[in-house]
Amino acid sequence: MMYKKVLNALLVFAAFPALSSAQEAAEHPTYAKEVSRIIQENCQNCHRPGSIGPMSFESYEEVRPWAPLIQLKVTTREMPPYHYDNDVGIQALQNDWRLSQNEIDTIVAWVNAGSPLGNPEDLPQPVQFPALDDWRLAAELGPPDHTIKSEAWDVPANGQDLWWKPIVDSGINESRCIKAVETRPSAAAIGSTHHANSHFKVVNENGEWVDGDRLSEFAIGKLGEKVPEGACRRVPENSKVEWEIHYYPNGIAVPNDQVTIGIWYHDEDEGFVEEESYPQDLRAYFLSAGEDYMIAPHGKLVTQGFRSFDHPVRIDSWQPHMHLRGVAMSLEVFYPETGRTEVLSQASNWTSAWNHSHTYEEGHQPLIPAGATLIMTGWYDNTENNPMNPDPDQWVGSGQRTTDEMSHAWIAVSHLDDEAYEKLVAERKKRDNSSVASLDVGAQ
Amino acid sequence: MSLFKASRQLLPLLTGLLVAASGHAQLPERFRDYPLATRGTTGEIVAPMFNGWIANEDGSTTMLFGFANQNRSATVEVPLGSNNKLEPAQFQGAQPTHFPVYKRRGFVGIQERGAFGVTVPADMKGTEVIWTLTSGGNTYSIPGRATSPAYELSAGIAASGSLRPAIRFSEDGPVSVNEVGIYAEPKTVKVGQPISLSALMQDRGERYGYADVVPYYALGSYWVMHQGPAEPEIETPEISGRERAKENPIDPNVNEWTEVSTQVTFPQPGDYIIRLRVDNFEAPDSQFDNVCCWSNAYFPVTVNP
Repeated sequence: MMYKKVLNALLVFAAFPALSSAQEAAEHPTYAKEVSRIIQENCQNCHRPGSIGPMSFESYEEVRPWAPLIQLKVTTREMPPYHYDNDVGIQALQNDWRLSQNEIDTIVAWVNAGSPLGNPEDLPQPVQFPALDDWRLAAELGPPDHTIKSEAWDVPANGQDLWWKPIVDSGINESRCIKAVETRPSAAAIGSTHHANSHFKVVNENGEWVDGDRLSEFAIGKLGEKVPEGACRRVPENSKVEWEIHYYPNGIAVPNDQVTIGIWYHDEDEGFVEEESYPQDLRAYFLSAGEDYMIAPHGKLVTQGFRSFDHPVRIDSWQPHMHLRGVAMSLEVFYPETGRTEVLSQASNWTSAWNHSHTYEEGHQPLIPAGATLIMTGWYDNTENNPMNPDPDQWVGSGQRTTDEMSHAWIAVSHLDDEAYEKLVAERKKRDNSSVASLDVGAQ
Repeated sequence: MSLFKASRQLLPLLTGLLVAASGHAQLPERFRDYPLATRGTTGEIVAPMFNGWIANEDGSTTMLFGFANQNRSATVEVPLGSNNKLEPAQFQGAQPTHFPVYKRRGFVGIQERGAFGVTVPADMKGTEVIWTLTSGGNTYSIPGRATSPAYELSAGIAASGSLRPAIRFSEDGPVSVNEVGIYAEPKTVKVGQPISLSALMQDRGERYGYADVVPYYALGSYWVMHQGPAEPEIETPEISGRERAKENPIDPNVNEWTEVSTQVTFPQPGDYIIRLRVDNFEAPDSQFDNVCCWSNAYFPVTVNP
């Protein structure tokens, strides 16, 4: 019986190449009909004149010479640059840049067929992209409700890493709940603005300005952060904002550069009720205490960090943060009552060139009971096999410079009480019982 | 068992089902041989570290070095020689032999940055400066090289105008304005007899026009044995700029040279070098982590029985 099953499976397998070849001979994808749409939707935002992609992909003539490289990059999932594992953890993510397997297969078949144009009449209309200095969340949310600019500063063309830490008035005169926040470097300095983080400064009971909650975190390649429905990340009124902008000169001097934060607020007219919302915050959770590790020349290293809460929480987003030697990070949860450990998210092809905040889709954020432990693991490769490594002969420790390492994850956490937790669990149980297809984890 | 209690016990399992139906982690095979970051109390490696390079206006290149003693508590001594050498030979002796354990707050917890520097003359441009250090049963040779832009540092102003502070031993003496530093005239003292070491220090910066800064800041100071056979007793080895300003408030618009001093008592005879680091870490753009802004000065002392 078993022998028959295996034989059938082998026969099916063996039949596929012939079937595939026959199909290709009969019909294959063309640029005009299929590939142009994939390129438009997934590549052109960066690969167009003036944007950050090194070449433009706005026409067949521009795309055709790069077809073999495109095939390689999409097959290895290096492009589009969204580094998040497909085969483990939560797969329901907002603003997910990953191509579907069908899209990858289409590109591969097109290149294997000689990258034909096809019928030009099948070409889609060109897409009008927003300007580089437009808000990337504007297409979905409209213009921001409030903006905050850093003080102008002259970015030098060359030299060492620099940290600009101006304090500016927030201009916020009413405490409200954030729906989304986006940090926007200037178009001219987009390549040299390595980080741009900010936090509030508020007046304490003694009348002194003290550090408040974090407002935003930005690293190269990051889109922005959206706060889920029903969660409130609060902005304090009459506050100031302290910036910490890390510039890494990239050969282009930018006079009077300013970084801008855009804030969108939850709107009561759209049904948001603050009293019914969960408090949410965005914090850095450290691995190996954040500073306690050294990576040997030509060596590799793993760091780990743990965190539990004395109340239930919902994880709304996860963003690994490492530097040039960082190559992978994962987020797991350990349930002491059952002894089970589960992977929530994993990026095993991570690169510091792109920093994404992986925001889980509504209803798919992990719910963590009180006492469960988050396990964060980071992998570092200081060998010559790491293409980002500037010098594998050096010892590397933690620090703020680009050549130093970091080991933390930015995690947005909604803090729940028992009642809220049980309500959310019940909602999901009801949903999952009603539709097996809604189980999102471990399958895409 | 109440329904509520039962449901509470099932919740972790249920949540697990909700967040991760896949029961097996798909960790790529290439990650399975990575060692976990751990540190012991003793026996660990002191990592010699290249902190970066500075292209000087005269065509020379400054190479800055530091270290990280990875022991949790054991100070390490590695005398100059085959186990602690700097090459080319003309630079031998600039490096420390004494490696304390540091537990700083912040990202650079265990690292000591900019402990010394050397300047490669313009006619030796391209020369690598190799620091070889043996500790914890391992030998590492670390190249100081001016090749990677990622390791480039600057002697110019930091983001809000800070420069490296100035140190000198007398009003008309040479001035140190970097980590390479200056050396004082050698002194001689007997074992157990305190000796005073002092210098003059001054903040430097071009901070006018920048918001949220004052023209000049109170300076921090740190005395530490750089080389020597046994750790001496150093009176008040570290004073931060904040502590100094609290003790002696300064006028931020007046930039005077002020004296910094300590007393050192040596336990054994031998040749010692004490390093003085002067920083302006009170300025918002000056931070130990970022290798700016401080300067070094070195005090050779011969201790007789």
